[in-house]
Amino acid sequence: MRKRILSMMICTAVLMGLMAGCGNSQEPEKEARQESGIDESVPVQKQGTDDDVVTIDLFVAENWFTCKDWSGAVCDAITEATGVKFNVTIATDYNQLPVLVASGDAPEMVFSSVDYNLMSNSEVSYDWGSLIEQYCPDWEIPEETKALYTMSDGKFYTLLNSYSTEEEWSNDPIAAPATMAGLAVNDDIMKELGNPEINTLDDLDAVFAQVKEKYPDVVPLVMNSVWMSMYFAEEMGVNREASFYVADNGDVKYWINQPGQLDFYKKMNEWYRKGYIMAENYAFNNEDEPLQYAINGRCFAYAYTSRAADTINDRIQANGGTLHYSALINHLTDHPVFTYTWTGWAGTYITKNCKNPEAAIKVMQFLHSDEGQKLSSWGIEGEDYTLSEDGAYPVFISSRTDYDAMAKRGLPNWGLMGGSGVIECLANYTEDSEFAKTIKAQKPYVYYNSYLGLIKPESGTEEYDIKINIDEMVKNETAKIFLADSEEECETAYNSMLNTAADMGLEKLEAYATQVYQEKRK
Amino acid sequence: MKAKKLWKRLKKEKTVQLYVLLGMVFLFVFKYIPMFGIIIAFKDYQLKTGIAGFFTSPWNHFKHFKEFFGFYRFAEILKNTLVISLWKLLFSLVMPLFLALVINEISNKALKRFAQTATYLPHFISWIIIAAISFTFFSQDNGVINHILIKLHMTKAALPFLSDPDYFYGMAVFTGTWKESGWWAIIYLSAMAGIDPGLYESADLDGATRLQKIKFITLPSILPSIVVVSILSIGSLLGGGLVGSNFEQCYLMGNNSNNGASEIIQTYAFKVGMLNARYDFATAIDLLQSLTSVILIFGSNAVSKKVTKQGLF
Repeated sequence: MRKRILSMMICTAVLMGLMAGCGNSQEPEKEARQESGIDESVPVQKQGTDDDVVTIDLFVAENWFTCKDWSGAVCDAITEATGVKFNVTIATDYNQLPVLVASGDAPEMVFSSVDYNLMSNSEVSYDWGSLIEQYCPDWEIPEETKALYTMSDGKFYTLLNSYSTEEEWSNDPIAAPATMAGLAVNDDIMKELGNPEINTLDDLDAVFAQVKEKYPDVVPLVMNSVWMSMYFAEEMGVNREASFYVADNGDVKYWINQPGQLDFYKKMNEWYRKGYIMAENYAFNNEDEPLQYAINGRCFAYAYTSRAADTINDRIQANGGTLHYSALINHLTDHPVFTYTWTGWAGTYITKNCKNPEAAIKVMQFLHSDEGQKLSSWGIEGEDYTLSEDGAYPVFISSRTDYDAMAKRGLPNWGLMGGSGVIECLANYTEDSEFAKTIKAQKPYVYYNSYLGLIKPESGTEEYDIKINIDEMVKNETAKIFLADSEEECETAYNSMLNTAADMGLEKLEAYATQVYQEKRK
Repeated sequence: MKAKKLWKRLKKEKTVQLYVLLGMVFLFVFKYIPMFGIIIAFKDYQLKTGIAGFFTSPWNHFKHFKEFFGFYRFAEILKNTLVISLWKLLFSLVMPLFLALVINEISNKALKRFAQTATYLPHFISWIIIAAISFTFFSQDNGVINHILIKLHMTKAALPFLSDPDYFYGMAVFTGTWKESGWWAIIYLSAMAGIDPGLYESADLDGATRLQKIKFITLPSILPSIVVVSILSIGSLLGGGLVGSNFEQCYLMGNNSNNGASEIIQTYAFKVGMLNARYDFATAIDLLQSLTSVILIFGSNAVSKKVTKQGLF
């Protein structure tokens, strides 16, 4: 009998547990949060409980954020300036926000890099134009910037971070878009080779040949698994920063058909066939594997971003090593192009569930102001940084790589809510760094055209399906082009890729791209 | 009268029946209700429309299926899926059985226990770790395997195991079989443990060799287990059979350079469907695969019943 009662009790407990997992209709919000895996340990604060300070729920869709809550001297300073503090929830993956929005439980404010189309919707978010007009009419946003983010309904729902206009870049004597590629070369090997001049592709070719001959254990060129050969494309005048380019007749075309594209492929294929690049470089699935070659001195040149050399040197220094890499700042052709079609990468959205949209838009105004950007990105002047003698860039007092220590100060993540490209660039600027030398050399060759970056077909449209199918196809076929056994095979593989793209609806995609581009330009 | 009798029996067994009920509720809630989502395979569904979108999205007249069948790599992806699955099916049926027979023949108890533990431990290692280990072992530039092959003069230059599509099938089958053979051998070993020792003693008296005992006693005795495992394996053929994990293997060990061999139906559905928020398209592809698996499991069961008189149901 006792056993039977015990069994019944266990069954009942399991059944109740199961039912509890199925949900509770009396707590829809909690249910949605649990379904989405939101950390329930974070208490939900009610707005306006701390006297005049307004608390707003902020959902951050980026799980890599090192600042897990609204704390630290920088956050306190922002709260003091704006009267707003955030009750922060960090997502564990990108799937949570769409579920919250779909269930009608979007948090008051959202910061996300991937949900632009989802959030830029009048049913989900407030449009900033109306909020600015009503609550902060003194906030002047350049028309060009507004146009970038204006949706098909004529409204804009966010201003993406990390973006600056051509004028803003030009007005700053130092800053240049940091989205450009770069190449770092091993100083020790260069010295042993007699510091040969590298001013052309042929010069680099000759140095690679010497490296291969004299250092059989060293790979002449290793490329970062994400940035791959972008540096060489840019040096050869081929745009690889965006999916589209403007042809001579004004039409917008998909990037694979650019003038110079085939020559670029042939050069990369030639270097592979000569043994300067490993086939395995195309098999790396993470960024650390190729970087290890550079850190351990097992490659001569490392292709990455404009921070290539600094990234390697920082890691070598942290490991107590003595190797040193320098950025190759001489251009390899007379027509390099560093295309800037960047429109920013993450936005803050004020959802229709926000109880105090006035406070929300005002805090965004502050975070986008010069003062707010510097405070949230760089920290407090005198405590976290001082300005350089000419006042052009910040000189940081404490480490900018100790993310735990920075998070305790409230840095650097909240700067992403309103930080511009210029402010972000200056935060990484150090006089005489390899990064500084690189961007100085590249700045004159930057081609600004952010309207190209706006050509992003919306999910659910035919153009969207065509584009992602072509993108995926190109990713796979490119490896065949790079790893072809002969120049003829390389060219055949390239032409085959163009034909396949045409069969997949390239013409329709380009017609759409041209139409969107021309409409935005108006 | 019958219903009354049944009710009386159920009442008598209420404690045990409650467990059954729990299982049924679990299956219904977590397995049957979500199946309703299959409907989006036939619709143009947008995530932002939520659950309501299941009903309100427009029907698309099999658009996703047509797109998949018309995809320029459809034949290649199907071939990869089938070749990897069939090779894995073959090895996953033979290797665990072979391993079980070998372990069963070990007379030293400690050694037997050690062999069994050592062979099933890889089952508990996740694929992400195995992929990382594979990268270290099989790297063309500094992998241990290439070092050994070169030292033994078995190859002049390092072999591109990780980047050449020609090696991918072999890599997938080898790592999969290594990981799961020991685990599935347990089923056969437990079946072997149930064989009447008297049969072996009689065989010894008749002067049977080890191989003869295996052929005439062990294998026929464990035939029902072999049949059940085979049917289950064929049913999950497209997922990798007993070895399973076709998706994990191909996604983690696949890359742009070996994509010609490593892209299978599941990875394609994941990349184009899930990563790009085309949930309707991904559902259509997965539905096709599930239907194929259902046909395979019923087919293999029918064939097995006819040939061996043994079946799963």
